[in-house]
Amino acid sequence: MSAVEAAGECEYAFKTEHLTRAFSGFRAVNDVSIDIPAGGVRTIIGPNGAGKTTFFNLLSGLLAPSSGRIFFDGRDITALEPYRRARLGIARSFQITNIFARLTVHENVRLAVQAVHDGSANFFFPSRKMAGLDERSEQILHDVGLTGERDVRAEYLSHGDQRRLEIGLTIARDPHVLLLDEPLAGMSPTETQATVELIVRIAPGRTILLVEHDIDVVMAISETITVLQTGEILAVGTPAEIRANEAVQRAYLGDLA
Amino acid sequence: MKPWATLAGIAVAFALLPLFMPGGTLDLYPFAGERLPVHAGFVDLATTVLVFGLFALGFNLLFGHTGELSFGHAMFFALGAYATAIYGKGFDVTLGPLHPQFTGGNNAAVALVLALGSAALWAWFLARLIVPRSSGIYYSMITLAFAQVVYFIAFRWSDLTGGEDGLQGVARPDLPGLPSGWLSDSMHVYIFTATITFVAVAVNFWIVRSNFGSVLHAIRENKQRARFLGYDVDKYRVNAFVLSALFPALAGWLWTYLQQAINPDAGSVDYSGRVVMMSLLGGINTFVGPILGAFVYWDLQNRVSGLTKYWPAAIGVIFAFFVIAAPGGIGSAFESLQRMLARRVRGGAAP
Repeated sequence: MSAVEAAGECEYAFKTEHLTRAFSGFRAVNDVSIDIPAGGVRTIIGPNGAGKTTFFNLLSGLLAPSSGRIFFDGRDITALEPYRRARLGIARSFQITNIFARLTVHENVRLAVQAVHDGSANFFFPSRKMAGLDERSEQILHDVGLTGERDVRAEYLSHGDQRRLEIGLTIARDPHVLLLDEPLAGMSPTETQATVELIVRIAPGRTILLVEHDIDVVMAISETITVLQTGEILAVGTPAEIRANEAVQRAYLGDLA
Repeated sequence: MKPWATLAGIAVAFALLPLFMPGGTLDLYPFAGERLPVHAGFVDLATTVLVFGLFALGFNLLFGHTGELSFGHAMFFALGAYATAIYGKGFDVTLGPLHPQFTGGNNAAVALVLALGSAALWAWFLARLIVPRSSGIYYSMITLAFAQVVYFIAFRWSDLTGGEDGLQGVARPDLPGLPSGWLSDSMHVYIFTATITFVAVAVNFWIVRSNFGSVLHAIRENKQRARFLGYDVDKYRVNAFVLSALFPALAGWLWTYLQQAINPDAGSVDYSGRVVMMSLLGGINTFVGPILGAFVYWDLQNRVSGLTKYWPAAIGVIFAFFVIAAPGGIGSAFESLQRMLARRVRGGAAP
């Protein structure tokens, strides 16, 4: 219960009602009604094309739903623009690394921290004059383990470091909910381990919504797992329940676990 | 480089600029022949360089810093210039049953407010219309289309704008604290222009280095990421557009006082294209690039037009060469040289 209390008065982070997104007739997400409880790591798994990324895009506002509604922390956010959702405390990473490639690592993080103050009166003052901004940036660089790379242009970082930098950008606002879309994809075992440790470290006090294919990691760190198949919910449960679910075995885990 | 060092460098460059003009004492061109002491011809050319440098610098706030290419920024230059000229000359127009008249004024500050105000209003209106609906090539085309609207109004509304011939004989204003007629001297016009331009450059420099400026860079690099960090990207794009329109309008105000005349060319596609060229020539990713580009453009134009009447073609070839051979422009070549020298100096100073 403590995680729930930490995330606010609402018992769920997201709640969707009959959420559907069709692409020229094909329903990538089909009539999904689900409560995603606040707190902990909540993972979505499913075969390729199951609609996991589309579901993320609907929650974060990159896509508008064809029908249905989305609630966040008790509030209807169905029509809210992405930047407004970000301000409510929804942050996301993307399946394909999405950072400011030609800016330095420090500039990347600094922009993320500065976004919290967007619209404040002293916005035209030289960058270094905004109080606490640099301290917070250094703190995040430290948290994601990139202090040594602070003045490197982001495009020259290794793949794993770029992924961790993106996670750093998402935590700058100290969001209630973090949507991570395949954060471990393409990583070496060492990079995977470092990134899993990072995710576990930043999880307390917020909800982490994870799409991930690395089933060992998913089973180890998830509080609950939702299985999607062809745009619909196949099962929801704890890792143990999902592992024992026969429908899930047939549809997905059979090939992987 | 420290910010004050950049600004001090620009101040020194402005002070010496007339001497660098073709035929000037510091002309860099090796075959310049006889060097003349300061005379009106190249002082006016130096003033022109400053006016267009300011124009290009404002344009580059949008192009180089925000990553959005406007193909119609001459409309703001023209608005500033026409506002100044029309205020100076007065007007007597017929609008249906209405017959507004004005006999003209000679207050530079009032002209400045009109120049900046009209450009800001028009830019704000356009940006609110264009920004949420377009980006990339469509953005460029829509700005071009609206610039054509301004151009044709200047061309056709003869009562107000003088039509194709434009407005001639705009009086230079008296400046507070200076003797009447002070601006009738070319050198004084240069000093006036250089002072105003320097202040505007400093403001531009401030904007680029502010928190606001770093968000513009973020938008240039990755709009989507900026949005998902919580930035209201379109609001920034609108503000960047309006700010980048003010510098051309200020340049237009100075241009009218230099030329004492204005014609529709000021709002033409040719002028819109020139600032794109100057910015690319000088380097859009450096702060001083556009000013450097304006200098090189006018310097080349002055030399080549003495050799052939096909000078625009020759400049086109030189421009194409630069874009292919040095896509970062002269400014970034200059910056790498500066970094190299700094390394060498540091290396030499080490024990």
